[in-house]
Amino acid sequence: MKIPYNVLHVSGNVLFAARGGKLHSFSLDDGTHLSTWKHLDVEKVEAAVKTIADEAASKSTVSSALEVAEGGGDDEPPAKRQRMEEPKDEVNKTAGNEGAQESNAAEGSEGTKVEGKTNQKGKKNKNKQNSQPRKDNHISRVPDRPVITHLTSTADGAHLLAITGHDKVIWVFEHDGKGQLTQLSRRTMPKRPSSVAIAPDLQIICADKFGDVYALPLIETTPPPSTPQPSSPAPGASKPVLKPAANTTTVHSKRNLRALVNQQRQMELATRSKSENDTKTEGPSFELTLLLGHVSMLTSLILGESEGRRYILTSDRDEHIRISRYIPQAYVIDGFCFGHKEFISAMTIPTSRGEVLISGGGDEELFLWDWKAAKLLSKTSILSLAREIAPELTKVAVSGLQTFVYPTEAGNLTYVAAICEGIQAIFSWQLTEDNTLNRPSVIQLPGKPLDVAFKPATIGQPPSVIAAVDAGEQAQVKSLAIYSLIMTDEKLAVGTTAFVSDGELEAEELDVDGKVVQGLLYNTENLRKQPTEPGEEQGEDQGEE
Amino acid sequence: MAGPPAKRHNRDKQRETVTKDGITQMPKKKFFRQRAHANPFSDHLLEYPTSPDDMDWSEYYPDYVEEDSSEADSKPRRLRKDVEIVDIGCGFGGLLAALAPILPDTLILGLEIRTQVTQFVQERIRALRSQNSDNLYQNVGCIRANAMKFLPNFFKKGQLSKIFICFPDPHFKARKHKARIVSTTLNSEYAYGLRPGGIVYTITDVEALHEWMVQHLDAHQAFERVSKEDEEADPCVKVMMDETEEGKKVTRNNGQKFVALFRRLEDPAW
Repeated sequence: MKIPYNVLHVSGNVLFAARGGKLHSFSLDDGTHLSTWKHLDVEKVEAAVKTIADEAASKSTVSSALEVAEGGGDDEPPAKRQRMEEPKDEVNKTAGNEGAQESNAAEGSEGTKVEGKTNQKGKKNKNKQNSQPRKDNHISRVPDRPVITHLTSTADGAHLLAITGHDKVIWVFEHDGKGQLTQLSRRTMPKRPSSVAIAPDLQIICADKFGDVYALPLIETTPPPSTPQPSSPAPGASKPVLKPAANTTTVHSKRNLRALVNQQRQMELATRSKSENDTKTEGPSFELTLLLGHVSMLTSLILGESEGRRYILTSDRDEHIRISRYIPQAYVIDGFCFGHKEFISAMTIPTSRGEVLISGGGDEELFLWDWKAAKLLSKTSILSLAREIAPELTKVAVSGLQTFVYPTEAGNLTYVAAICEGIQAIFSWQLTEDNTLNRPSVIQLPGKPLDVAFKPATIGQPPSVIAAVDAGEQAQVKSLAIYSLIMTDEKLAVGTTAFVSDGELEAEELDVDGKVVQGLLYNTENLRKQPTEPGEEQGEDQGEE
Repeated sequence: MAGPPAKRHNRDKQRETVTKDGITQMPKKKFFRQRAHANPFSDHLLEYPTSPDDMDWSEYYPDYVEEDSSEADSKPRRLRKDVEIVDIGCGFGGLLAALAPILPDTLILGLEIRTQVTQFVQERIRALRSQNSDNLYQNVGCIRANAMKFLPNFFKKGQLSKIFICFPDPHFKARKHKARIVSTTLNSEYAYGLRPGGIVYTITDVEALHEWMVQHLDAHQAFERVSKEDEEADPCVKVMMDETEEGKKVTRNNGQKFVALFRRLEDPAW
């Protein structure tokens, strides 16, 4: 199979559709292809895949498979090596804000994480290698596949923002309104971004998987500030560390005391070498302000406005929806919307009904909130609707939530649409005046939805929904389709179906294994907490001093 | 890994509360040992209420349960008072035991992430209540919780008047600093739980951690440092210095103690 389209964004008459590391633009009028932007790593991955395929082909099956598997396990993580080659290495290296030591450590941990994963894959492959096609083994040697995880644009459509997850980069493009992009900046965030929004004052508000929310200007001020301000006060970074934080009155055991002596020696060495290369202590080379943070993985971030005041709404894996004030009072928490019992993965505020928040995730219901008052208005089961097409379902993981307006003679009707990971449908409801979700409808899709976007209604034309689906091995199913929406009894249904002309693009795509796609694009259900065995938990905690 | 079943069985037996002449005996610490650190980012097997309104406090403060039970059965029983003082990472409960008689009319809660230690404190409170007939120690409780993740699940906005952070895990390694109990981002949650005028008490024997906590609380616009005079006048400071288990240990080892108090300011208009 080929990597399907996975992220969509509509800006005016242009549809931006990301597919792995490639970003295509199409005209929504006639479906013509306008332009393509490619992440540098796309070609690296393709080259690596080819080389390995060639290498493998020239050797005998069994021995090469062994070599490949072992190589995959022992090698330095490829992603790391590749990062070193990049010209903007410095940004990466100094991305942490606790000085050189911290950033190195962060890099290290990030690196080991990747390595851990690759190793695991390698191991798995090693176990199964004889029964599996060789292609599968190569994956562990290919550099991290680039994936565009988020796309958004400014309200006027003049700028487009993309996030690539594998290298934590925020890309900003200028958009001419006709699908042509000019790359303006490339900024590497300290941790992998998990959600992003552009505020009307042209600030990028970005939430990451480590639980922090940063603000950075959409347009970089040039030249970049010579003295980068650390995003959080870091005592360690501000002055050279001369002695360890611990001392003989704070640690007591023999082992800890020995560690302390070693640490002292290390620090003497470090301070000596530090004077030589002092440049390492710099923070990120661009303006980055820490606004707020959860001690949990952030899953979604949106901006709200009430009575002329703006707010930042963040949701995390630990069932919290937090309402914070916008800059410059982002440190003030105004409230929490409590009620979810599983992770939250998607939130949306309809533009037509700014006071209402809709949230969903691992719970079987969508929640409707008066977010300003932190009050639950209503709940609507999405699981029971999903069971209409898949009766065997016991749980859902909402991977996308959007709202749009359907204009009628009686006035504008607001609709909420949701997609769930692995369920081949778009679910939609009408958001009623009394704050409930009513008139449910199911639009069945030919594959598993990865993202949906809406094209607003124009005069004489109903709104359409654009769906990116993963069709799996069914080669005849197009990954991207545009469905015009019709209404029967105020329930939504599909009118006509249109496709974009991407035949050539499709042909260029290399084949990938289904597992790779699974690993890259399906990560909502993974947020669910795994029930721990009570015994395991006890054991984990019980080690005696 | 968990010890052999026999060991666990023995321990459970030893732990069984001893009652002599109708009075519960103090639990023995040696049966409640646990490693000193817990990972605050892990999911654990935590129990926490969906929201503060869903929290059933009656089990922890039986003397304070509202008599009038006209409310629906599904709702947790209300207390006559709200919990006002929280000891984050209460350890073996030295501070709780010392504060209870000093502030007899205020509900005090210890939060501890380690199961064994929480059980010890709960036993200790039961024993204290049993040994003191005159309603003493009815105002203290202890629950297992991860305060870094779930503080807002337990307490409404502005419910607290004091938060104690005594001898927290110093997390010496730089890459573990996010796990520290005081950070600019986490301070927003303390500010959320504290009412304006409420106080955060910090004490540690690690100077670098003291500096870190002062710097991060100073940098947070919702807090201001309490002056030295006010600090010395506060009776809780003395208790925190001398009555906590760690405080005693530091004194034994001739270590230093660093104290800093921060007052919660009124939120600016928005």
